[in-house]
Amino acid sequence: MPITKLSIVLLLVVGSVSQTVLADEVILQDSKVLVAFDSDSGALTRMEDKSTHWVMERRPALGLSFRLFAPLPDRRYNPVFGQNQPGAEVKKLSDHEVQIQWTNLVSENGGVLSMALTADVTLTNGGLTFNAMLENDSPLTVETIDYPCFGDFNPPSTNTSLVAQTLKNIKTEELLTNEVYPHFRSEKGYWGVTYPTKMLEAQTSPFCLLQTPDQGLYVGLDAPKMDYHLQYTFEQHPGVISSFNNLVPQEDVISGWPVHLEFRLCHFIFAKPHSTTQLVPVALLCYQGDWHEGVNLYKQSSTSSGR
Amino acid sequence: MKLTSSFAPKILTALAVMAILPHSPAFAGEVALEDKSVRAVFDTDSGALTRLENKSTHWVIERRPELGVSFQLNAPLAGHPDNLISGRNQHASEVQKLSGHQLRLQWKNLTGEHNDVWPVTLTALVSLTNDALTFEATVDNDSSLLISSVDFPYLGDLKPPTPNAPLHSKHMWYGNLDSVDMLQGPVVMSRQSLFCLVQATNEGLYVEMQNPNQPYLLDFISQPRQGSKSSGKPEHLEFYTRHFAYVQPHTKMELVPVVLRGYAGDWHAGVDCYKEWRATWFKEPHLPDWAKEVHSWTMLRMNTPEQDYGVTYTNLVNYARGWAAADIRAVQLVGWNKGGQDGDDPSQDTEPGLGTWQELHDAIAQVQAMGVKVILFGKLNWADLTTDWYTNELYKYECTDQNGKRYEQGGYAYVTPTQLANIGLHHRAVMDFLDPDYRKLVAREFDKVLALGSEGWLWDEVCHHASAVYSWAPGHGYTPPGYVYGGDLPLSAQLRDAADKVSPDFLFSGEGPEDWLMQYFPVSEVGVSAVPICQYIDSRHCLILAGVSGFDDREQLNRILMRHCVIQYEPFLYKGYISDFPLTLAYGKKIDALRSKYKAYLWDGEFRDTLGADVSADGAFGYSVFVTDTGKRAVVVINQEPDKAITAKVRLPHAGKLVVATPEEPEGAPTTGTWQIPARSAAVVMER
Repeated sequence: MPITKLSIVLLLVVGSVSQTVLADEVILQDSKVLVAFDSDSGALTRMEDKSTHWVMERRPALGLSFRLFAPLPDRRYNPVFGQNQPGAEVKKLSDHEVQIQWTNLVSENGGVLSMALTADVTLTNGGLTFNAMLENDSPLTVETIDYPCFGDFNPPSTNTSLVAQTLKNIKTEELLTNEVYPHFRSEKGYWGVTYPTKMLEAQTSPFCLLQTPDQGLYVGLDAPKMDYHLQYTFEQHPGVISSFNNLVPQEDVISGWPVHLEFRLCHFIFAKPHSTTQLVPVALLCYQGDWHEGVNLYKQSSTSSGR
Repeated sequence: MKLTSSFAPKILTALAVMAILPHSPAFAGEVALEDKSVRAVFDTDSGALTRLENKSTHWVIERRPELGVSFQLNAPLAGHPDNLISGRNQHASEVQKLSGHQLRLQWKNLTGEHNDVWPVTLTALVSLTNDALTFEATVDNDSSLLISSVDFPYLGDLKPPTPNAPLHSKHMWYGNLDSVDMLQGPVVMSRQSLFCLVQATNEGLYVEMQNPNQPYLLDFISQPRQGSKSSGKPEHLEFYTRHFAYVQPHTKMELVPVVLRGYAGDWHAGVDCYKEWRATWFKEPHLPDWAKEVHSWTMLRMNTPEQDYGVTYTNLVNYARGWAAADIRAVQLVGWNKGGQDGDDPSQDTEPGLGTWQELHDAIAQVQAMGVKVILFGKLNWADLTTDWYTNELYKYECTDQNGKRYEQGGYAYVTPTQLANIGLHHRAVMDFLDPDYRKLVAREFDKVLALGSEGWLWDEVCHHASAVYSWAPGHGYTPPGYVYGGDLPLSAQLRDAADKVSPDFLFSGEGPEDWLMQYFPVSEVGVSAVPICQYIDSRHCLILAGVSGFDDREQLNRILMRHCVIQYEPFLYKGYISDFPLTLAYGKKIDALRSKYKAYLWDGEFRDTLGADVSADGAFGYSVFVTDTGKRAVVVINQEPDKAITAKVRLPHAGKLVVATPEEPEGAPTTGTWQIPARSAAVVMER
């Protein structure tokens, strides 16, 4: 898809509208965490660790909901972007639960698809869990779904470094550290992507820690086993200052482009036509401290799930 | 025919018994080739090289005679791919000094590891001329065996100039001079570099494959050997060249000459040896006039194998208006052909998903009418396995291994999460350039590129054939195995001839062409390499393209200025408009304006890397020296600190009046050679 500044400006305009509509944003919060969803689009528009005031998802205009790919028989490139859907049904079922549903999904090159994605977000004692189910009543195979998605993931401040930590090998429990900020080095061939991109494997790591020097966000796959491949995907928009040092611009905007980090969980579901797929639940939990604390959350989760 | 069969003459058995007698620790005698700089000593009994010394520097390169080796060859037997015939098991039948600078060595009826004797004769001629030793050899294979490789010459005891000092093997590859500690046992392949430097701290040994036409693969091999009580040999390092000559039964073959030459200094001095030889055979390629001027490129992708159809043919002019306004001289157009970038190779048809042939043809004409040359990206090395064309025809021309299995290249990942996770890539067969029928097919595809009316093309991945080095595919017009890289030059010449019929100005560019291919591909896309070897070899007839993709990419642009590269703007990793990164474009234009103003130095001048100036600074910096046709010098210094100014001092021996200019202040001001450079900035000091 070609990139035009116009499309980004439109995104920001749409975002501004969303921001206006955010008077109707749907919020889940307790004493530890706040997460907000746009009541119109279902996008995740804000998220904050209330105990440390770390605003992870900051600018509502950059919020995202989901993305999926459903190749057509004669054309493989057929994405469905959550932000391009006419609307979502967003219901607050209780103080700690929101349900969001997108139906009759509008694809970029294949028209309206008979699919429904239903997400159920729960908040329990500071922990968020994203459950989702895809009902694919179309004749297409859905290869991947990105959910949940952060469109504007931030470190606590512009002076704070941020790394993504995953297990390199689940048996040796060796931790792999990838810097995300202030340097972002693309791990994917530049020919194949538009933005610097990292895709970290969940196959070897059922969790990913988004770690600052003294606090972090635990992102865990909340299932005893995974039936399909998953990746933690990071995209730095619009790019870096220099390909020589991979520095991320510190400003909100460079040359008219919003500077933002997208973070998505990509599920490789390969959902067949006329099938229903339950996605692996994704748990988010803020913590204070270094990676030991994050890994402790994984250990607790493993014990409780019997993994 | 194997002579130890019942037909073998008895005399050969007797010879074999003699041959396997353990060597006496006392050497029969020595014969030396020597001039003022070199002394090379050979054992008169075994023919082994037992001592080699650079007399100018007193470096004893080969030291202990007992570790000397004459040669080794491999003649695989059924079920035994390693049937080594070692020179250690042979007596030389002849060690004759032909003159003061020439020696002839001969080994006949070679004895294998199992006392089997083979009617094979190896004859070597070693010459010492102008401080260089040249080792020529002929293999006369009257046996029934295929001789796959010959190791010659052979340094059995390579030593550094001082004990335990490091030695590094250095060679050209992809616009760089790769360097590996020789104790790690690196193997340098002639398909990447015609020379290997054995580099010590302040001197080195230049080793050259003296044939630029890729007749076969020659490896430059470093092999550390552990000490062994059983053999009585101490720990040592061997270094030799391995000729993968594949000498067929009952044939005779001359091996390519190998040259050894000592030098004083760092890699520059070693590469100077190469430059000297290169000047005797390198045919200067033609560059169109526009490419000789200071200019910049950009790059745009239109489509991928994932069928995103990002830029249609008719939309191309919308991008071109920005290129023309920014005075960009050329665009590398990627993914314009059927299947997109890395899809449907080697097809050079247009892609229906992007529009019609006529639409692309007309778009190219429109873009070029705006002053922007269109350079069409293409690949001819591979055949996409997913296509019907491969299934029905192209398979006939693919390279195969000894077992008849095709070699494959794994494809590249594009756009979708599925491909980016390496699922569903378009794997490709490796095509055989030695096959005349494939070359005809390629010519037809290339004619399609020419018919579109562009001003040039860029052959991506022209520098390799994936895992295929030799092909055993039958029916390709030669006796297998064939050296796949041997087809590169003939095919390049064939395509050049075709282009010349359209226009001699039709530009050939490629991704990292090896140095010999730069005779046909004078524009190399390799980026800013760690060692600017191509520029050091020849900055006047060849251009190096370097991409710039950051949104305020002063660092990369400064390096491009310093390293004499051509800017290739790649907004959004070459998927955007040129106006998408105005900060980068603006600084790039200042760099090119500076180069235009001082073209005699910074564009037309000889690139000397760091030679000829002494530069220091109180922070991270880099520099390069340029010399004009009239001998005036310029030094480009870049500040590599992200956020602090540095004070740089430039000392040029016997310097004239100096001025300093910068991209921001190009007029130039007098300087003593000491001045301050702001963070992320560059400056050039020039003799006026």
